[in-house]
Amino acid sequence: MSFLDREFLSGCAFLLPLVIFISALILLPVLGTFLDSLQRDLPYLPTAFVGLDNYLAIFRDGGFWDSVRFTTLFVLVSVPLEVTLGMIIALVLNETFPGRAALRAMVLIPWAIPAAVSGRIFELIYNYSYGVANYVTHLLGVGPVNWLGTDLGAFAAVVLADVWKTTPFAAIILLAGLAAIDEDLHRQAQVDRANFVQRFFKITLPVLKPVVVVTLLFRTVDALRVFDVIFVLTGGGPGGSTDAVSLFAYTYYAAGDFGYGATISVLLFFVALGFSLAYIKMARFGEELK
Amino acid sequence: MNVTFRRLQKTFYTLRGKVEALKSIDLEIGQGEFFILLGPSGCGKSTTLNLTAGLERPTAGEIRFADRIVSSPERKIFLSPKERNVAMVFQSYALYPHLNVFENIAFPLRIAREREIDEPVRNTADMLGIDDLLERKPAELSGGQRQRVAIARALVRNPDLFLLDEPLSNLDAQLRTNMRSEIKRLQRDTGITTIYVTHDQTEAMTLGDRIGLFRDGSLVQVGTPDDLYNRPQTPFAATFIGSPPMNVIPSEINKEGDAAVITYADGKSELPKDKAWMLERLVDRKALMGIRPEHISMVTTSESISLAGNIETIEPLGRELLYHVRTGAGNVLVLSSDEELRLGDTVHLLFDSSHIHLFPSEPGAN
Repeated sequence: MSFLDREFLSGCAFLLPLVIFISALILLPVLGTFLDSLQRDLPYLPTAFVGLDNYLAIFRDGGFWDSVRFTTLFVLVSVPLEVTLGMIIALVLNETFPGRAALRAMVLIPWAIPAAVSGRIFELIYNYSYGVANYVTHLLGVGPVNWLGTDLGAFAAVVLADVWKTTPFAAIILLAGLAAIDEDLHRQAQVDRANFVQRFFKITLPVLKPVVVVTLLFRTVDALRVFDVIFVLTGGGPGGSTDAVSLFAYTYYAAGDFGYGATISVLLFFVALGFSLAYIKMARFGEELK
Repeated sequence: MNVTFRRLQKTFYTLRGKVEALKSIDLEIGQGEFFILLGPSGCGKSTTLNLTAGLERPTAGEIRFADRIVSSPERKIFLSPKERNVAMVFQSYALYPHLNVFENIAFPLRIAREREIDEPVRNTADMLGIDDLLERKPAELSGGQRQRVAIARALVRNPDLFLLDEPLSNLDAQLRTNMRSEIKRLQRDTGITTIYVTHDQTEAMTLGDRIGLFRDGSLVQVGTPDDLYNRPQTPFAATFIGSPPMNVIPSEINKEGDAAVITYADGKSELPKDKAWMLERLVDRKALMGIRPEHISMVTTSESISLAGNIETIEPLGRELLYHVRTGAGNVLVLSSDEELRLGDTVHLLFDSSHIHLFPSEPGAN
């Protein structure tokens, strides 16, 4: 056996555990879900192969398109908010000041609280009669807002709760990226007479781009799959106006229609995969490595 | 443009307490001068450079560029780096990793919204011999090439003042020697007032018109390389400049008849006439005698009273040998081309009295 062959075999041996883990934990479930989406899988009928019938049914399902519309809006509003706020927090936390370490730890608290708990907290905050949110609107001279009872109010409530919870996550990833930037670059840019705004847009942001893209990727995929906050806060209401795709799929799973639920999951999977590939291409990781 | 520092102080406040990075610096750097800030790490030389660039604010004192005050806490004046036309080269080169060489060099021009960008960038790149690298990213360059790009970026906009912070310490020895002469040539050609920070005394000696030697936040001595080498004013300056360093031997000065004599352990030398004033200055006759390794000769037998010792180590330096001799007055370094001597040999050291330096033994009493 030649050296290269042995090199190749030992390389494969090192990869094998990872391949087994990924197959068992990711590939098999995805394949299983995919197969399930091609079946009629109901508790009261024998399971049968139905080809693409589930997909055709979904594309004609108004409820599905409503959930797609909500989820798209949710992603478009919440992700930019989270990453922008996260960037501001990260920039502040990257400066040196007394109490920085304590503040860094504190910023993470919202993210550490389980979504079911923070969802309940927000439910109280948004309560029409005695919630803090309406106290604030009262102070601002605006009448009480029916947060969870109107389409717009519920959308805002869900976005706010999600932004509060996940901005720290974006902030921490971006902060790690910022901390890795050589401080001399900022000093050099200062000597090159760039002002604060120029330094941010011409140096910090471009250098940080791969990290920003990773943050966007994590947040987008997470927001596409949003479930827990909405499940606790609005349950998809009022009148299905905050029915996210995951929640829509869940209602079918809960009703025992696994084939239909699996079909929605598969579609969501491909959308998330598409975003991931687009972001990775955007970050041009390959080029950085070269 | 000339640069003046008056009673310049910088104090940092950290969790561990107050750190006086600069105690009180008075210094004047002339128009077109190549000035070296030399000293061991943590002596305040980089702080001085950062204060000059406007990257940090002084605690007290004043910095002037020509007649313009650029920093003065007392007068509440502080010009940001943007308002000072200085260029800087960092030890890490600080090239913008996302921009290619052309855009790195063009960056200061683009920030200044210069109309003409292409020509000055290409001219500067040409001057530094990197005109064939303009399309490359910093990650695709060698250390020496990165160094050139950093210098090109600094020179491209004709700064009033050129600041370099240990620019050569990341390069290998061969490249360092090449870049040293190149930087010297560039400075001479452009005539830009230059402040150069280094801890390497060889760099300081070869590059500088004048050197400011720092220690613990204070300027110990300012002078030409020749001044610092041949007329050091403190034992610190004496041992910091020159390689191998000057020997500093604790000694005593006494009057013997008309002459004054320096005694050290079992040896003695006559006090050079031009150093007779030392006798009056000394509090208790104790002094430190400095003598460079090349001004000592070794003999195996001696009729006069001389310092004796055993050869402990021999380091071949190529042209000469460096002997470490253990004597009653401590370890003494001797440079000699004598190859006959062996480890363990007992030798007598003869000091060339015209090259003896004397320093009062109390620290700071100079």
